[in-house]
Amino acid sequence: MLSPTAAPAKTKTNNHITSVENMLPNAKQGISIRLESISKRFGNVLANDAVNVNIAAGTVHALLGENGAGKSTLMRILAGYHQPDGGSIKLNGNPVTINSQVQARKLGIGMVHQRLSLVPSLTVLENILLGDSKTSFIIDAKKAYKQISAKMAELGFTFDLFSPVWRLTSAEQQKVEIFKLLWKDAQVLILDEPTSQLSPLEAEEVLSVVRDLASSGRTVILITHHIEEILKFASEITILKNGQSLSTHKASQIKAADLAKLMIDDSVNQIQKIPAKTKNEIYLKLDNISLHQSANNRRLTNINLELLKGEVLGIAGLTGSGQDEIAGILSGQIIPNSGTLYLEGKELPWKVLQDPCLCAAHIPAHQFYGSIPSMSLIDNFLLRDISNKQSLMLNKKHIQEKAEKHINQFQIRPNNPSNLAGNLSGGNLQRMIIARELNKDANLVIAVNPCAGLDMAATQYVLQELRNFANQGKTVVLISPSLDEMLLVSDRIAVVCAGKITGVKDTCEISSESIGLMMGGLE
Amino acid sequence: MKKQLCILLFCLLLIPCQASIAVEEKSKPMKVGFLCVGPINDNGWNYAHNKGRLYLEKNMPGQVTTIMAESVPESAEAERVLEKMIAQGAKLIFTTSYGYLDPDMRVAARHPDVTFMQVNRPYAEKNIGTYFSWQYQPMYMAGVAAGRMTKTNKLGYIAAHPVPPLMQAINAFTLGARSVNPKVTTKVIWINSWSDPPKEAEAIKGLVESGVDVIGHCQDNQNTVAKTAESLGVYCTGFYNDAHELAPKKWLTGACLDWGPLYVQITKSVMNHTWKSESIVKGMEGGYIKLSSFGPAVPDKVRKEIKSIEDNVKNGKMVVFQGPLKDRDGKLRLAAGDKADFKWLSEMVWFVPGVEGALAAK
Amino acid sequence: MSTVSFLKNIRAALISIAGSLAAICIGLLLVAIFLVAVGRNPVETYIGIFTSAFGGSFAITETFVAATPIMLTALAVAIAGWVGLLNVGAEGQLYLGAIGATMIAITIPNAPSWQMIPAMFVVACLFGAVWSGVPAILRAKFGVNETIVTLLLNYVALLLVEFLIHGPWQDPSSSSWPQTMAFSDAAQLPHLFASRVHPGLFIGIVMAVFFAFLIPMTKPGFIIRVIGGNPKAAAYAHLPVVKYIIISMLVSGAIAAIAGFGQVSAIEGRLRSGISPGYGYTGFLVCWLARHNPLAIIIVSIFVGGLLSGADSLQLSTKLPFATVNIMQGTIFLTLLMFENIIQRFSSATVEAKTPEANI
Repeated sequence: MLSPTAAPAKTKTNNHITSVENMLPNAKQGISIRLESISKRFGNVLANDAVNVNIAAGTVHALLGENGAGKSTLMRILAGYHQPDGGSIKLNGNPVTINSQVQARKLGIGMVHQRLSLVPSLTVLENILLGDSKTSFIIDAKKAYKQISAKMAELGFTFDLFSPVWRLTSAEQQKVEIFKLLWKDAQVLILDEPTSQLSPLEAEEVLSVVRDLASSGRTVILITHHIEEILKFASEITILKNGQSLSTHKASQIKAADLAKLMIDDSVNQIQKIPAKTKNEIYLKLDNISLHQSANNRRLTNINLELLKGEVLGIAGLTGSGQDEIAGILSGQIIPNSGTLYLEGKELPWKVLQDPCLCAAHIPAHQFYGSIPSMSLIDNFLLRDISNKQSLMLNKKHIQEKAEKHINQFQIRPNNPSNLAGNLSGGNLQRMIIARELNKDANLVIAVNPCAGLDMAATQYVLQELRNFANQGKTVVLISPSLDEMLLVSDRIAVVCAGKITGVKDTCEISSESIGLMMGGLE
Repeated sequence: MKKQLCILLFCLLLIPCQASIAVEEKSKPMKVGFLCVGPINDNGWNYAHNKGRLYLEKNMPGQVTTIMAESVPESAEAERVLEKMIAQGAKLIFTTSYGYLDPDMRVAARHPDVTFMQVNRPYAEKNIGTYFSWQYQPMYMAGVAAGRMTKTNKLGYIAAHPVPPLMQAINAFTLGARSVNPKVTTKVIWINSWSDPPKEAEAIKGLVESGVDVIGHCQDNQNTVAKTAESLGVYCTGFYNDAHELAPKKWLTGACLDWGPLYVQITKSVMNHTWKSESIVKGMEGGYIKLSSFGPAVPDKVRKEIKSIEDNVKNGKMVVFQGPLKDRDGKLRLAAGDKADFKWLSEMVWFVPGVEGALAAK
Repeated sequence: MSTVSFLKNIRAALISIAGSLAAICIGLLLVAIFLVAVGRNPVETYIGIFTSAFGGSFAITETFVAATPIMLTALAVAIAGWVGLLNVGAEGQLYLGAIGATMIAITIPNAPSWQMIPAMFVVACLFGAVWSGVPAILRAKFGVNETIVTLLLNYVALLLVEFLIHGPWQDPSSSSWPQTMAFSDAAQLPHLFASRVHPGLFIGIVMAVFFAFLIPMTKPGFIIRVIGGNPKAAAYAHLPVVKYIIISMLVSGAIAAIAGFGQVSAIEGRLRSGISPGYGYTGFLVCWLARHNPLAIIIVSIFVGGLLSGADSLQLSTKLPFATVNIMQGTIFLTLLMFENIIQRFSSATVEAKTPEANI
């Protein structure tokens, strides 16, 4: 496990660590990181193959790459979760070995994971104090509050410390996670896809905080797929591909298209839109839908929406504006309090949408809702086929063949159909769900943030598949935080704001600016 | 994996062969089995039977060996343990709890060559005999002591199950107390188990709070009763064993079992084939039920009074249950001039006047 | 192919059995230290226990007798476990089965066997299903925690038995001894092999094999696995979650009730308190040791049955006090549970080595 360069240091580990610790408070200019020929193998998968990355102190450094390029593994090595099989890590030029997360934290390295590690039922304050070595056995909340608010003010963070975490927006939660690291005196922040669950505005909000931190001397490493974000907020970009470091670029000296080209072999294609032949034939109509838990808590108010055959309808809105509820109603998960459903012109009861044979294909907002981690890929694919058509005995051979077909079509890795879904990475799990849903024989597809965690090539493929679906005369509803995605694929975009539809426009007629205004309820 | 499994199975097959060889060696002395419902260190019922077993071993050295199984529930589990005792060569088995009769009967039917002795049940068949001791006799005397010592005229009694042997004891206790102090009443609380220390302690506390100052009991485990009474400062009586050291200040007296001589007698009769199926019924005259020693609280006058009753009971001048005797509802249970016989006693499921509390566990 | 998944199931059963065996050996080693300390030869003691549990036909049949209610209650726990519910109430459901069977046996004492036994069986199952149906409905409709409800219903069931045997059902001929009258011969399940083994054992084995087939290979089995794996995903796929949860719990209670039916009808011949020395709880333990695998449940329950019945020899041959039995059983269960996690990690690690986690 030990690299040759690190070996001598190991014998004097204690001295060594203290020397780094002593170095930290003086290191106002921050910590520079040098990763030299890092290798890591999982079984027979070589996740990192002699990766070299140089990260200057006080900068935002982006790691860019497809799903499975080795970004997360590399950062988990730096944060002490994995030990490298070979290579060395140097902080400010001093070789270090990082055996554990605790040691990484002592060295000032902290990581925010893709799946946040906050306790939703606790307050922000409690979450910050949680796992804080400074917290004594008896918590002096007043003192902690004073100290934490002072630190927040110093760093320019604002959130309600006494609010339970579940009440915060995704962006605020992300910021709490970042602040938690800062509270533990982290000098190096590793952010693993911090914006994948955020709307563009929220992403901007979080990333500008990150940029400010870098300018105040901290080193930030950003893992993301969003090239525009990188170009706007990062100063340097390292591209990883197939476990190797391809090249490093200054953000100011490279264009988005070039980055994309470097990252994947195929350059970005324009999505091919075929105008629907039967443009005005209504497939499904929601008439005057309202949804509320109580009189004061109205989640949807008087929604009227027509879904046409052969179109992709995008639903845009700020997080929590009601688009998730509309998706829930269309997929049969939620039954509204009032309103009427018309399917191909006929008024039908809401239960129709729950029929396993007739119901819509549904890519859910959270992967957890659409997969069973403890079961194999075969079984996960079977989830949608277990309708009335399925015979009492499962035809394992047929099911396995079908699963293999899906796995190959969507390049799910590892490609063993008996592998447990819980062992897949986020991107591959998303591919699995999409593969299953797009192969479901349905007339309606509801795709909620379908490209979360996918790399560019996969995003391109999924968007094209959604478009093809519509091109066959079927109906697609796309809900995504990425306006660009929706503008690329959709025929029309409906904008929701505070549970109401503020407008439905043809894509060719509007710009992302005007949609932004409608989302804010300003137009 | 498979190989290891094969080896393991092979080893497992070998073990019974060796063990069965060991069982084949027959020992000359007769094996006598004892089945107890609770732990033998309970200073009560099970302790008394174990004491009898040790007496048997001591008095017939070389002729008998004994096996003891304690804490065997009165369910079909007992059947298995009995079978295992027989498989080990037991020829005579004492089943020392009321509820063992069912398993006894089933196992006895399968093993006509083994003799079974069941305690306290009026039943006898082929190879099952039963044995009784009239514990109610010393309990009458304990009642006399209680009647003399009580200040509140309220006695308490905690009892396991509403079965005739315990009913006899409660009634005799009350009769004894009222013979010297007619104002006395006895409050009964059913524990519903031969031994349930927490429940027993609770019950005693409840009784004491209601003004009771003497506690009588029929619980297998005498430790709880005696210690709880002592700590609460109320008098207590014993039922199975002389446990005055458990309540050095508050012990009065009570029944004390001594099964040893009876066990020797039965064992000898089985060995020389004179055993016959019967119910052996003895009171204090038989020697295997005695009066416990007195505690320091009992004054000499009372001791003398009780001693004279003891003598009269032993030589038959006095009978505890004697007509006319009415139950507490006024129904005549024993006509004037009649004396209690075995059948009458073993059907006693009623209370004499002065006993308070439910007739059955509720 | 379907045989592949069945074999896989057997392989999983073997892994859990091998792991449990290792844990048992460690438990026995710990107890051996204790035995040496009290001056007994541990090897002789263990041989004695083993002989007492598996040496000879009588010992083996007695082990099966003890294993029967354990197997059935363990299966009951497993069935609820497959849909993600924790049924701690097998003990109470067992008692309800006993009550149901007794009700028939004493209300129509003169019915012939061919009417009596099926009627007892059906009513026992119904009673058990009612006892598990209450927590099932509370859980499915109102989200009440089924663990607590099933656990507390155990005490209610015990008190119900006490009430019946002290009150309305008390045998008038047993002079206040708390038990019902003895069942007629027609109400007693036949014994097999000239021993106390009764058909309950085969019901248990057949059920276990049936579920070993049903769960991995059929549509209802798949739905059960999905609900157990992720109820949110099951709701997402519009599977009938509530229906399956309720049905599974009803079946679970009914199977535990069969254990109670067997105990009163074949073993005790009447209803009394203490017909189960905690078989429901032992079954719960066995189910977890077998990791809810129905085939492993057969093996583990026979092993635990042997442990219960073989422990007699500690008293009878080794002349150790009864408390030793508890010490030994407690230690072995404890090591089994402690090592369960370790074994699971080990076995999943070997699986991982073959199919690497590609979380890159």
